[in-house]
Amino acid sequence: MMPAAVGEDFGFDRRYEGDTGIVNGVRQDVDRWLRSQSADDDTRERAALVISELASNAVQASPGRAFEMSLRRTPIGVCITVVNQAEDAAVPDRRDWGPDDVLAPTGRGLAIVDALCVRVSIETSDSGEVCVEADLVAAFGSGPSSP
Amino acid sequence: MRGVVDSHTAPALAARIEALGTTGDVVLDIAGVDFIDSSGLRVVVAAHGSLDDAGQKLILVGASDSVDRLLQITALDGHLHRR
Repeated sequence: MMPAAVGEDFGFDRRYEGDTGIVNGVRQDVDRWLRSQSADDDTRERAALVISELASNAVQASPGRAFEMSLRRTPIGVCITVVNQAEDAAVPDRRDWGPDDVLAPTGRGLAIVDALCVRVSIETSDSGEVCVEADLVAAFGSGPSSP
Repeated sequence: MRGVVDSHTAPALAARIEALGTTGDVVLDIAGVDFIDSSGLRVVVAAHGSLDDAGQKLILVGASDSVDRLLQITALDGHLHRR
């Protein structure tokens, strides 16, 4: 793992290699940061799911290419941002998830993120960079507060 | 099963289940699973479909509270066989 780019009391910023083998490590890194922020168990459990889906999407969108993940505390919880800098990264498959889709083979990942987060945005820059941002409601104890 | 089922480990789970064939019901004991995401669910759903097509069942046992929660979020709790 690469060291955090900024102080971990402020936020979480890391760059990861684009391999599915890294996803478990990403979850563990984020969990450590959330623990350092005194996040409760429910927050950490929901965050692990969101992180796993977003990191897996980033890796699968452009295998072998690095992606960046950052977390920032917000007034309601945590904003999770994943940026895939590959010029040819695939945009995550986002569609309305209805009763007929329950047994569909794909599309479940972002549906999970949508269900767990209060806001999810997916943007593609002119250079092809895909940025997914998700706001997760979170509960924190008496640890460090947002700047 | 135990440990983590995510995009990295799900292919191995798929291979294990596929190796069991579809000539009988398959019981998937997930009591030891610490974490599962949509990649793991995709394997479970695919196995459920294959077994269902063959007139058999995939039966999940031992789901933790967190796995239960994920099954509810994805509405799979009403479709998969549980015990």
